[in-house]
Amino acid sequence: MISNNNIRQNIVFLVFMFFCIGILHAQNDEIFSTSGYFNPPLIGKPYKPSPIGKGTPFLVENWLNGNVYLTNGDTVKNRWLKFDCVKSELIWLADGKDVVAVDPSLILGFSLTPLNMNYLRVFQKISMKSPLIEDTAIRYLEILSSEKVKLFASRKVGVSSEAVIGSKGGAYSLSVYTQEPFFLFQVGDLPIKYIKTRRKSIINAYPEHAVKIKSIFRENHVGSVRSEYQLIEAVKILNSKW
Amino acid sequence: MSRFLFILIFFFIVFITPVKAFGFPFDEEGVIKTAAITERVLVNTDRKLYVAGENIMYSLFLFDTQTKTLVSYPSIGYVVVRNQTGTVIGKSQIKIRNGRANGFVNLSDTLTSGYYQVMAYTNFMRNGSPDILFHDQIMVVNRFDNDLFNLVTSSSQPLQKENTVENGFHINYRSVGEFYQVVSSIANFDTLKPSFISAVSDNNTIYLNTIKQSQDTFLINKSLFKGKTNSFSILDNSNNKVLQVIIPLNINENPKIEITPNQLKYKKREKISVELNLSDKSLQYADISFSVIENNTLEEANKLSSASFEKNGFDNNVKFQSEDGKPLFLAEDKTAELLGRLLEKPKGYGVAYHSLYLTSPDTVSNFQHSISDTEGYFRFQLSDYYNGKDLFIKVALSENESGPFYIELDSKFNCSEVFKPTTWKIDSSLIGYIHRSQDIIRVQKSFGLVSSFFQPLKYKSVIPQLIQIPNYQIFPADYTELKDFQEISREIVPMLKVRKHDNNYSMEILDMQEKEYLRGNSMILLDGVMIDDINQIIPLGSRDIRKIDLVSTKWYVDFLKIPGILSVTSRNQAWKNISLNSSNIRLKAENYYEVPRLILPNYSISNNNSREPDFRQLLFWKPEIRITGDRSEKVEFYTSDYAASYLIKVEGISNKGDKVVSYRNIEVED
Repeated sequence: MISNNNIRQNIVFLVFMFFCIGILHAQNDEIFSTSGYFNPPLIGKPYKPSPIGKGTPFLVENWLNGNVYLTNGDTVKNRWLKFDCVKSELIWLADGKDVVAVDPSLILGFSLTPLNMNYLRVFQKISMKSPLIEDTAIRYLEILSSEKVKLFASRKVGVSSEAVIGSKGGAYSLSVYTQEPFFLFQVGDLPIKYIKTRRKSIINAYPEHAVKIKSIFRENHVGSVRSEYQLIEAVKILNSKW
Repeated sequence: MSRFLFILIFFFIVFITPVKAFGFPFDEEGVIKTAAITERVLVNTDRKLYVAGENIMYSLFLFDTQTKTLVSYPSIGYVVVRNQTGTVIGKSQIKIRNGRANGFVNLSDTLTSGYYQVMAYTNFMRNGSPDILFHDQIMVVNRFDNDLFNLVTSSSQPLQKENTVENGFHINYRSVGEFYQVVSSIANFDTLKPSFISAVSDNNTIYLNTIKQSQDTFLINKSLFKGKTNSFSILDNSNNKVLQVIIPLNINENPKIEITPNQLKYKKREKISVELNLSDKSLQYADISFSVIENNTLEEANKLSSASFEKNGFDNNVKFQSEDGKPLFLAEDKTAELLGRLLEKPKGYGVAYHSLYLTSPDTVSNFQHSISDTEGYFRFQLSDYYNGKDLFIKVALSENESGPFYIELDSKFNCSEVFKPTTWKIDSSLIGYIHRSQDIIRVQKSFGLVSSFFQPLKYKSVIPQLIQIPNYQIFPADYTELKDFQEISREIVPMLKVRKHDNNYSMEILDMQEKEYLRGNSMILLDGVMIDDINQIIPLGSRDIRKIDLVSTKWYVDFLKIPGILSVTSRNQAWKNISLNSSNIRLKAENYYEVPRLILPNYSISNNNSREPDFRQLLFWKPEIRITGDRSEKVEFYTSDYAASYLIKVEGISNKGDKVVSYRNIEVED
């Protein structure tokens, strides 16, 4: 006897299968036009990996499926990508074996789909000037919120070294990679500000809006903000009440 | 278990039932079958008769036969004019937006008098049978052809038979409201009676009546004619058909567009104001072209043919399957495509899985890579960057490979279909019109009033750039002058070694990351064009070279690995002297041209003393107008100094997908 629940599940499953077939069909139609047939190329040079050490220099150690958004308006879809947070380089697994550092002058941004997740992590390229250096450097900021109140994360990875004793007794220097993200906050078109994962830091970011932010936090019981997750939730509340 | 059953049922349905039910592009044998080609093109030209040296102005509609509307996606249209031998004598490439476009085709001054065919299509339509392409016929007359020998001798039959007298029988008809008024004439009525008049629609007799006198009149309701082939006939007393007159389809007696000029008679250089309204209230809008041309018997006769578009297969969907060896022509919604085939000499077999490169002369390095398929076909994407540029296609040869290969390119303007012109009636009135037109064009050409210079259109586009930031960029002008490239490479270009061996030069690039020379053939670009070897650059010294870019690592372009790139930009377009081996090919990409402005004088400003003669026969042309149901559209222009009878022509497509045509006569008096 088939239960109602089973029927429902199976119907959903069947609908999902038809949906997939529909997508396949749609993809088939697309290849008969120049917009679907021609895929923009990814261009770059061989990637020189960072030394092996503790931790990972990458955003995520695994290769993730992602898209690259090019400055010419094209999108390169469904490539195996990784983001090297130390060198701020987007790398691509070409042909299953060669690892290529994508030419940053081509990139507007990229997105990654974490394994077994149905959301995208989207990154946007910017030129940033570090406080102590004259020149600008290319950085990729993860877009955590892109509404009226924006939140970005720079997935910086710090590199230090520690001495280790090798198996044969020799001393070696081992790289240690530590995730050191920092966050940037922006209200409307005002200048972007660095903030810490602190409630006070958000309130004081824009003195002209401090009262409003504080009031929204109070009304919505936003107490402490100590983690990235709490920071994201706080910004969501600001966006919903702004 | 139940899920397993569901999956089983699902696959049963998919693979056993006809594939149409699920829209799968597979047929019963599992071969991929494409969707129907639902695109159709309609082209309205400003007139039917031209003098060689003039421009054909046209308005183009791209229509979807399934949705019965103009297409919403962008596309590229091709309009071709061919002579009777099928040779292309004029062509035009045009961008289509929201199903509309307008352009022109220049008719060379040296064309001989005769019939010419206008064809129009998109690249995707070329996949179907030739009859889905748009075809129309025009007449071109050489302005120095006084006796019109070609035209007069070929014109042996009149266009229609409605006033034909054959063996003493005669049928004449005209439209009167909802009826056709048919007048039959029988010379020997008394000996031939009883005779009958009949009307037939698709082989069904829909009307039959007795002819009671030598000239008799009948009223036949138009609504009886429901078929595609309709005719009137006279039958003799044995019921044999002695005369038949075919009625052209959809003759526009009840126009869906009302043309209302402010007057019917005008003076020279007087303003004409025409209001256009949708008379069919069931229509929301109609997209039309509007022209005002001196009337002649050819325009009158072709009113009837333009009202019908059965021959363009508007209601016929065409499906096609990919046949062995036949390439698919892509729908050019984003960019144009360049299709070609790599073949092996001497047998002409397709060469599969071979790399080809496309470059173009520029100060910026540009590059595209393609791989030939199993039949040797390859494609490149031609964005607007390439418009009008020289293109170089190079076959990648591996170290132990020498070909010989050759490349055949597909031309979008080649049509293999034979052109069989319809003979048009040429009477004395038309000959008089032709002679006047020839005189007018001679005068206009003398005064430079007919455009012969065409400005290419510029579109913003992105360069398919190969290198944005090279590892090294050197400007020889910053250093002491050096006589040739070998010296330059030795003295001022790091990581590059040029060697001479037996009068031949070769080069190597040092990979700065791996600290070894890159293996394989590095890419050499001269002014953006990929060349075979460095020998062609060696003679260039500091005076000839503006810039040198060097990429001294492997460079990836998608899955293609390039072992280093040397790009040399010259001061004096050295690319023009490049010699290509037989595996390479050079061609010129098509361009888009600005439609030449028609001279439309404004006589509201008092310039009656202007020395330029105004003998325009085409008083006005507006290729794209939309008339909506809720308001009228007004068009204003001035008459010329040429007194004649003029025809206002409005032709287009309604929102229901029907063709709409409407005509009105006006006079310009002395």
